[in-house]
Amino acid sequence: MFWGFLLGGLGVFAGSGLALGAALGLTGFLILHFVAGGATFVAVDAVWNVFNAFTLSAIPLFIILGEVMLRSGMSERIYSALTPLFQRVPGGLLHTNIAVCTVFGAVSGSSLSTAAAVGSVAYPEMTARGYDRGMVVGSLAGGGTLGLLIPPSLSLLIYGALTETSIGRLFIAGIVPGLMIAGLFMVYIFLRCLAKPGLAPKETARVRPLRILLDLLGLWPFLLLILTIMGSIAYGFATPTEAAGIGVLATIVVARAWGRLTLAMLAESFYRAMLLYAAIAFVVMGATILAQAVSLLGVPQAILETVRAADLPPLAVLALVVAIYLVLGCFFDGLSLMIMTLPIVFPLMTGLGFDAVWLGVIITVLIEIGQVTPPVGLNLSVLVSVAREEVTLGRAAYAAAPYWMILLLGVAILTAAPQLALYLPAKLM
Amino acid sequence: MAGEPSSYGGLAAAAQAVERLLSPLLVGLAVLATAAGAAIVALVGVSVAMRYLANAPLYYTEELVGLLMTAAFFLALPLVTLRAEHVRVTILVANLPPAMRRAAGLLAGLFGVVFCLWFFALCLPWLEFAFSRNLKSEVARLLLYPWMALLPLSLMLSALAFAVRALAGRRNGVGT
Amino acid sequence: EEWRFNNGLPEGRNESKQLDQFAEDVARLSEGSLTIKVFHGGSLNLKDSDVLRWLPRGAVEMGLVWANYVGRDAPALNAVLIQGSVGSSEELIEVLPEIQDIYRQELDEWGVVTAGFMALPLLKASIFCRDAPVRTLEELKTKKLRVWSNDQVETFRRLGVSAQIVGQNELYVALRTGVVDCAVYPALFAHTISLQEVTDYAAYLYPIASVPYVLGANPDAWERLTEEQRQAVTQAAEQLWARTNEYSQAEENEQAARAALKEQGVEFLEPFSEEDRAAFLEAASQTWKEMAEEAGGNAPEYRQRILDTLGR
Ligand code: NA
Ligand code: NA
Repeated sequence: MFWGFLLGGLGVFAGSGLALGAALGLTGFLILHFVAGGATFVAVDAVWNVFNAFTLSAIPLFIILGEVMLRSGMSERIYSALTPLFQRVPGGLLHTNIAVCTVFGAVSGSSLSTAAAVGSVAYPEMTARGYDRGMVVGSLAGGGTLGLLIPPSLSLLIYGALTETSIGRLFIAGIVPGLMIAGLFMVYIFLRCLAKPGLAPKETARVRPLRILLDLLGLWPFLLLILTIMGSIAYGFATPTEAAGIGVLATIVVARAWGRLTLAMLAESFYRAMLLYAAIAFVVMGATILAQAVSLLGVPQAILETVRAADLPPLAVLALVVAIYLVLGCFFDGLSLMIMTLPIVFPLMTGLGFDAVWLGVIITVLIEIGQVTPPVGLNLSVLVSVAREEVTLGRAAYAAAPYWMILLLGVAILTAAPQLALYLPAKLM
Repeated sequence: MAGEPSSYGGLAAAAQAVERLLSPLLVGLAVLATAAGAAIVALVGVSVAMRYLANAPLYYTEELVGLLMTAAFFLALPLVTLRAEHVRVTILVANLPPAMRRAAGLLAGLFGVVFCLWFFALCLPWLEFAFSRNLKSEVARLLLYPWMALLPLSLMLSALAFAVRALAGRRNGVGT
Repeated sequence: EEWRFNNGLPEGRNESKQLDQFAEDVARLSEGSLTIKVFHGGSLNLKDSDVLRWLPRGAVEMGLVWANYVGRDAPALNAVLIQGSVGSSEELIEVLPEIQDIYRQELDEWGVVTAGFMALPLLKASIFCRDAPVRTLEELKTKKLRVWSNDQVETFRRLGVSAQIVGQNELYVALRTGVVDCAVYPALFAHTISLQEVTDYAAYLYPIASVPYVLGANPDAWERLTEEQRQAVTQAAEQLWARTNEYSQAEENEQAARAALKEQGVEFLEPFSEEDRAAFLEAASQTWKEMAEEAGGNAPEYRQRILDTLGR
């Protein structure tokens, strides 16, 4: 009955071309009404709680930051300076998407805000330069997932608090896997563009090295901006959430001094950013209602209980747990999935001898995979909004599929070599 | 839209008339959302400065940012709905013949209206709960029901926007 | 009959294990006719602060109600006892029966059946600081302090200390980077958020007014039970209370927690001085009065009942 409502509801509502947020929400309402004994009222408080969570504010703030950079001409200058540098590398500026997402991952705690911040700037700049839309969107959706893996990370914080695992160790454990996956993303882009050069434009004009250097030196205001954001966290001026707001203020100053920001442009940026935020938030709202419906029924817990009861060897259990996360990842965004499953997965896995810190990293990668799995793949929704219907959800999901597989490969590598995650924390703490 | 029954043409014209009236109102709300966004930035900036320079943190920043963020979303939602700027799954619809595509569009609009009105109905007792008890936010002691009232307002207008969009035809054409 | 029980506490906490035991006892005492499935770690996605919305309307059959979480919806419940209302563990133990009476009465009006209680361990609030030893209010005035509730903000404001609320999810990074310098936290739970990794010093300031958890039940679900099933729940709850309302190990546990933290690099300083602690309690007493008055309804009367019990 539950699965009928879930699959039927999503199929019919989303299939009709209804706004995804409404399709998810309506499915959630039906499940709450018919399966959960009419408890539809819990949806209102669930939505209210999500939007009143301070940590979520990084999302609108980073979108504003991106819009200001875009409209002031700042991002145009940045990309013009970077273009010659990557001219001869297959994949070109696509690599900067991964690199910038990695840097952003170090200042933002969630993958949604990372994808929103980088995507709102990179998508228009790169498609204007002739990059393949699918490649751009895929690299941004994939790159965005680095936001949770590279500390600070909201998922590792919540994991740490719910399981009483050392947050410091978890943070340090995320670094190497995060960089490794970023590296794998770049290798993929390199190989893919080597095989099909049309995906990334190549300029044939030779640029003198001196010119490149001068262009790069001209990037100093941008570097100053990044240092402001990272520095405000490192030196304790601001929490990572507040740093997003500081970033906006710094961007306004830099864009005024270095770009051509006017008051009208600033107002326009805020206005556009709010509409973009509302489009993304509508999906978040629907996903919240659906997640509330499913978690109230305890469905993920019930599935995992059967795994526990089966009494299988450790690696088989791990494989099953991974498979369950992959399936559930279609219907949930990352954090609610983690909160629903942890009370069972954690004792189950640590009881089988898996390391608690390692498990935190693995679960983070698994929920990252959920962020790029349709239909409820919030990174995908962010990029579809950013692309303003030039890229459909289906195409975005298709473009993100290789990154999905690389993340899964990351799980396999980390299982084969847990030391990749565990060496640094053991060494440093 | 040749060959459509005249009653439908009349409905479309009526919907377009409603859209002309509705649009400026929804733009006005989106402008308020913009102000809320600006207020979030300003509040975070002031809060950080007060804490760092004056050692006098604004203890209610988190709570107020949360309320502003909620307000910004619900104020901007109706306009985003009217302009059909939502994320959608288009893969099925795009492969339908044009006549059925039209029907799917109407059906999707109907679902959108049902969702918004259902949510609206759930919001009323929720708002009544806060209103009758004069609930206040815990830290800044702000009266909550004016903020909460934005939900049913936004959902009612969004229901209207879904209906107008479905009947008046798509603004940007169906995405493929 | 199967009931769902919402528990917001992490699965590994002792309280959660106690609830599992409670569920087992119910199954046994009802001879299997009533099973209670406890969902730990908030995995049902229901928030403790919304319990007076979802429990009376029956989203699940049972859940923990903690008065200090419901201040938005029920200020009177929140104001029954605030941080600093009691000056010692003995005083807290003395007022527990009165508090239980008040909770029963107030929750009845909210449409929640009080099926029983679970006591919290006796907790002592210490000031944890990241890079400087702080053990006087004078020193604390120069620091940025993290607290968890509105009444603490008020009380510290009266003492000239600028306190702010920082969410649980932000606290670790905030202390690591220096967004705040110090945080109020009980030593017994400090390890749960890895506080020892981001602070170097701690000093005891006041006894936490750990009000008991209520085992709340939805009235319709309660009515549907047979007399024997209700007996089973009440009896299992009484056993739970007897197990948790037991403090002979309290001081030992506190010292053990401090020793463990010390091993991990947190230096426990001398406690705040008698005068400082008295000043804190005095300020808290003012806050309490104001909160009870502002909450209105039965709140001032509840406060008076507590004060009478304490003989103040
Ligand atoms: Na991060
Ligand atoms: Na997903």
